[in-house]
Formats: sequence, C-alpha cells, structure tokens
Amino acid sequence: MVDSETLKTWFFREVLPLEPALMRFLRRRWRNPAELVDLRQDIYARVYDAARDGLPLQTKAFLFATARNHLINRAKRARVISFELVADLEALSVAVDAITPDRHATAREELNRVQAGLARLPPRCREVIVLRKIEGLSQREVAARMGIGEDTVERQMVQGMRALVDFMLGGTGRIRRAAAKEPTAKEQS
Amino acid sequence: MSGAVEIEERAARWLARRKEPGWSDADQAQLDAWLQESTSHEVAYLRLEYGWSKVDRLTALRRPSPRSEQSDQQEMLATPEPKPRRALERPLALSAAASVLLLIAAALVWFGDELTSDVYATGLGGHEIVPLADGSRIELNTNTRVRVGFTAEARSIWLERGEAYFDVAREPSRPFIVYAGDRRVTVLGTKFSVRLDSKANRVQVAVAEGRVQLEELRVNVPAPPVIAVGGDKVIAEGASSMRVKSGSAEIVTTDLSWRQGLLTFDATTLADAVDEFNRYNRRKLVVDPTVADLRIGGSFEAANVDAFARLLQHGFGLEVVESDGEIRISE
Repeated sequence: MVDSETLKTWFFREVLPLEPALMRFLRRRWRNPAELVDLRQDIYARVYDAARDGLPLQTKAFLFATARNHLINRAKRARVISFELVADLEALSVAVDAITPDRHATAREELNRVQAGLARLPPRCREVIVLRKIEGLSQREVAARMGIGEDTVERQMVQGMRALVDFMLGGTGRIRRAAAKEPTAKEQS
Repeated sequence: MSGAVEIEERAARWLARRKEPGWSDADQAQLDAWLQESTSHEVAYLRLEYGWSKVDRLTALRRPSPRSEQSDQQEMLATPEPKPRRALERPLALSAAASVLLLIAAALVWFGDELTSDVYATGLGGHEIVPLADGSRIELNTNTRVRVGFTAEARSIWLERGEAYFDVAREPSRPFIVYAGDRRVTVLGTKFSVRLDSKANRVQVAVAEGRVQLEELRVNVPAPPVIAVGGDKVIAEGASSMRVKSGSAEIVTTDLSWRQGLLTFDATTLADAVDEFNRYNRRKLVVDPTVADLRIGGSFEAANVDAFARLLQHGFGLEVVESDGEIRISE
C-alpha cells in the first residue's frame, strides 16, 4: 500500500505533465469530443486507484495502456461504434516511443502561456481572476470592487480557473459548462 | 451520478473557497469528505491544483516593483486586443483594475512593439495545436518549428521547419502572414497548410478554405505572386515559378490527413511513401531499389511503422528485415 502523500506527489510529478500527450491520444481515437473530459477523468481515476497498491515502474506506458483499454471497453459498451474502430484499437500497438514527450517549458514560456490563457478569457472573467490572483483580493472584496454579487464572482472564478488550467495543461482553454441540460457539446474541452 | 464536468466545477469551487479568508476546520472536513467520496473527485481536484499552481506565476507580480518588474506586470496583463485604444476610451473609473488597464493601454501605445514572440516546436512524430491570442489556431505536424510574432500592424508567423496547418481568424485590419523559406503567404481569414522542405527548396501550400496569396521574397527572382483558393495546392520549388494544382477538396483533404494522425497514399510509389513515414518516426524505413517503384494506396497511421511493414510483408510478399534501428524492405 502506498501512502497518500507519496501517491499525490507521484500523480503531480509523473502523471499530470502527460496530459497534453494524453489528450492528443484521446482526441485522435475518439469520435465524440464532448466525452473527452469524461474519458480523461475516468482514466486518471483508474490509474490513481491502481497506483494505491504500488506505483507503476513505467508511468507513461501504464497511463497509455490504461487509456487504450478504457477506450476499447467504452467502444464495446457503446455498441454503435463500428467494428473497424474496435479492431483498429486492438491492433494498435501503442508505440510509446512515438508519443513524443512535450518539451519542458521554461519559466518565461510558462509566463507567456499564462498571458495567452488570460487573453482568451471573457473580459469580466479575466478581471475577476486578475483581481484575485494578482491583487490578492478576497472574493468578497472583488464583488465589492466590481459591483457584482459574490455568487457571480465565484461563478466567474470557477469558469476562469477551469479554462486556465485546461490551457496550461495543453488544451484549448475553451470549456463546456455543465449547465446545459442536453448533452450537446457547446465547445470542445 | 455526476458527470465529469460537474465534478470539475465542484472541485474548482472547492479550490476557490479554500483560498478565502474564513476557511474553517469544518470546511476542511467537508472537503476531505467530498474528496474521499470518489477517486474521480480526488483526481479532478488534484488536476486543478496542479494546473492552478502553474498560474501562480502571476502572483510573482504582486509585489511592488522596481522598474523592470513593473513593465513585466504591464506586459503580463496586456491582452493583445486588436484595438488597443479601446481601454483609453473607457471613462475613468476608481477601481484599481481599470487604472491598471489604462496603464497598459499607455504601455501598448508607448512600446508599440511586439507583444509576443513565441517559438513552438514538435519532435519526430509530434503533433501539437497552438491557439493564438487572436482566435487563430496553428496545428504543428511532425518535426516542426514556428515562431509567432504579433504586432499591432500584422500577425506574422515564421515557419522555420516542417509543416503546419493554419485556421486563421478574420481580422481585416491585421493581415496574417506566414514566412516559409524564401516565400511569404498572406491571408485574410482562411484554412490552409504550409509545408517547408528546406533541402529541396520547396514550399507547398494546400488551401482548405478561403484565399491566400503566395509570393516570392527574393529580389532577383522575377516570379509574380500567385493566388490560391479552397481546393488548390501550390508548389513553389527551387528558383523557378509556382505551379497551382487546382483541384478538388479531396486532394487537399488527403494532404491534410496528418491532422488525424494518418498518411494517405493513392498510387504512390513505395519510395515516396517511405519518405513520408520517415518524417514521423525515429525508426527509419529503407527501400531496396528493386521495389521502390511499387505503387501503394490506402490510409495508414503515421506513427505505426510496424503495421505498415507488416502489411508490406503479408500483403505484398516483400521481405522485411530490421537491424540497427532500420527496417529494410526488399524483394
């Protein structure tokens, strides 16, 4: 059994940095972009649970093998997927070498990325994030400053946080909200 | 059962609240309980914590600053808006945020120079999508390097190596220009790819949608600019002029199948197909002259060299031998 601190550190250091590569992998093999967040979360949960019994020796290989198996199971369960897709997934020998590691960003590059991420946010959302993160105001103070309700501030914060994190982890920075009743994808995640 | 998006939103709300003053032990206990309810909750929360800590670089700018840090902060907050004057037109407000934005507008007018100059690159077999601040997107193919330099006057990209697909947001006041080798591709708003083959001194442009203009930049080469529209493919080679292959959207789609991770061949020689594969993979295919002229067709996963080799072996009856990181194909 692995203790929770070790588990968390492992997840931070070895799994999450692989998200850009993982998302590329999933995007290419799964037709429905609306389900990508779901898939990613499921794969992370499986990998995390498995690691409780013992951290894998090769994290990258383990992550992608888990991802591949999960896709196959999902495809089989959905039953509307064509036979070709399943055969294709099974025949796919994940040449882990061919999944190029992303280069480690320098501090400057990360700063640029944050800047670009901020630029992509809607103006009010951006202002909330700037006031909280840079000015260090509390949510209440931000609400007072901007003349809006605290609930709104929290909503903007949640939206901005998710978009920025998505962007920092290699995504597009556009997010789907859970608000929609129908499962139609508004935007890709 | 909550969907994944609901769980992420919940996790974000927890993370936001945790930084608030007045976070109590009772709150912490509630968070811990929620985290323990399901591993999905835990990983969603950890993921946000990880990503959000990367945004923490922003807080480095909070401290009152010596001159250099101040311009960093202004640059940090500068959102490259197409009309920088917009902030100046805002009525003077008392909030700190607005006055910070005014300072930024001044800085933009003052410095006026490049707001961003970033380099993006992929390795062998790589594939990366880069969103740009104006809403455009660049998709980098294998072994590619681009430099992005946006100013108030123009959106410039240098394709220094490889191949990229551009999905350009329309912005009539700022042309979008791609420099590749000795050429330049200017667009207003469209979808197209540019491929640079430095060794052959060749630039290829495939247009999916819209309109581009391809020009020769060297002064001593008298080649008139060429216009290409959706469905066209332009090849500019060597010192001479450019040929436009007007065609179907199909030709362009085939050319762009790399965006789905596929290589598509249609009566392509084995030699040419192998050259394409080798752009994406470290393990190189080598073709014996006796079989180089075989024609093949079909779609193949760019990264799956083994599957391709197996197909040649079982489908065409060729001999496939691997040694020293090379795969030799012969009769």
